[in-house]
Amino acid sequence: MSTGALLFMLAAWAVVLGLTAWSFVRLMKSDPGREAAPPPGTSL
Amino acid sequence: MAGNAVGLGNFLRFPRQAVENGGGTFMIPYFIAFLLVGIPLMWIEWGVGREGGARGQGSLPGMFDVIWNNRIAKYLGVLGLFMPLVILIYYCYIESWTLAWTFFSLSGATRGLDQAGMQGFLASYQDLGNHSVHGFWTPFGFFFLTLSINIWVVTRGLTGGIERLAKIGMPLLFLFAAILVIRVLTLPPHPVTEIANGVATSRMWSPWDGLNFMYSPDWSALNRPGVWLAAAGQIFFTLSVGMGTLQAYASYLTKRDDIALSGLATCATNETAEVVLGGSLAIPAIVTFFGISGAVSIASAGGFDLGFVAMPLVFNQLPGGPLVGTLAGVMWFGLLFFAGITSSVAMGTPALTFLEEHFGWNRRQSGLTIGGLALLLGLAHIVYYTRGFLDEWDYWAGTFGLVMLALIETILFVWVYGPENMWRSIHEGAAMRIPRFFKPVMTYITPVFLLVMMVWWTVQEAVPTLLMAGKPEVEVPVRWASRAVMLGILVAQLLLIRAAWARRARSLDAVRRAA
Repeated sequence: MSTGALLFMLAAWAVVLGLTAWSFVRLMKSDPGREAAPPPGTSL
Repeated sequence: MAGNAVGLGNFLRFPRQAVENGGGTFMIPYFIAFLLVGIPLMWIEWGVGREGGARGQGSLPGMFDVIWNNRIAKYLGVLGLFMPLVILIYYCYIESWTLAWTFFSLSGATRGLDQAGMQGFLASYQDLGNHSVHGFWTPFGFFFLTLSINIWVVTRGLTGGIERLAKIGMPLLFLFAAILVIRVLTLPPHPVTEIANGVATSRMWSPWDGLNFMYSPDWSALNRPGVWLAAAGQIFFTLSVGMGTLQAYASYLTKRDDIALSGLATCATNETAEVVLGGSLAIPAIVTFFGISGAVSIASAGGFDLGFVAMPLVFNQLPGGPLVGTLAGVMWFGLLFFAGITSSVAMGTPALTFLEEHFGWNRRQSGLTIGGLALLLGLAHIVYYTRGFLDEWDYWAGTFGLVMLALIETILFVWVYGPENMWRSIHEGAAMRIPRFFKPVMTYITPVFLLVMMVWWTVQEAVPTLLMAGKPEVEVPVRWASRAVMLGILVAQLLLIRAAWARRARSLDAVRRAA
């Protein structure tokens, strides 16, 4: 396996697995009863 | 939601698309489409679903009606009933193959077959006129069993049926996939003889050659629009966006529930299943035993040769004897079955919810009606599979229709409802702040990307497909009949929407008079 392909694969896996792990950790920590304020600059 | 997203597309369609479109060359537009179309559409669909659900609407006609106060809005929502129902019917048939092949792997029916034998085994199953291997009723039996399981799960409701199935099916799917990936990546190199320009050359291939192919982009091939469209199409199919199912699930959420982080988690889980597991299974295994050119020729031979011909051939050659091959076969087709059923039960939900909400049917009545219709139309797929009946549905609903619905809902939710309202709606109850970069992406880039896809597909594919360019004469009447059935379903659903709104207007009138 070439170095370029290996780096591309490792980067792709790291992004995908990292995003999955990060989002699940955040989901487990989040309090479903607390509503977050809308981001600044947004209005109805 | 993740159960809905992770499906047959992750393990069967993805490796085939990647091999056909140059491996690494495919992966670059694939990740770009994931970022610019996949993730934004996931948030848009969750947002549409929750907005509709908050106003008592669990299916797309009602959701569009509350987002856009226009009399045609509800009729545009017909796509959210049509697509999942049509896809459910043919998807269940393909899903029934995975159940059948799990059984065949256990019984040893595919053990010892060579490539021609394995292709004949699949062809005999698909073509009822060819009884060389399977009995006439075998495909009907597995389809009936698969559909019955689906309808049973759907009628038990979201918590009692679908969630319980996902809690069992998803961990098993990931477990089977992880075991198979370890087995595939530890395969020893295998000699393969390839013939190019009449000259036979032999070399050793390993699973790492397959991964090398998957992650070595040919930069010069990136200017081919076909690769970009294939990559974007795969993102649609794999995330189950543009189908109407995510909105139906999201309609159960309240404004206090998070959709921003949950939508992202759904996308990420699906990509883990697809890129890390799906991408490390079929391609490395097949390259080890057939080489790169062999893998490309298998992928081009037919939509299902990679999963139902090449993979069983690989299992027959695994070191460790028949027991290892049998176990690998059961795990491969078992994981496909779990991936398929956690998606197909979601497809039954929109039509079922529509009947419950607008006509007062109970879940059992709605489930049995949809099951009866799916059984009847599924028979046509079984009988006319080899004459293109299923191909037509897969193209118009499962490919073209997804982009059309995604484009319509993006325009409605982002532009008609308003970019500010869309952004605020997605952030209600959010457990994370979506990076601001996504606001202009969802407002401008995603709709333009979808519009370009739609126009390109119309010019390049839809028109020739509509005119049946290159189709054998024997298939033409069957394909027209297939389209007529689809059109019949669409018209019937439009009439149902009209009847539902007329019924609602009568009830409102009665309430006003009583007051």
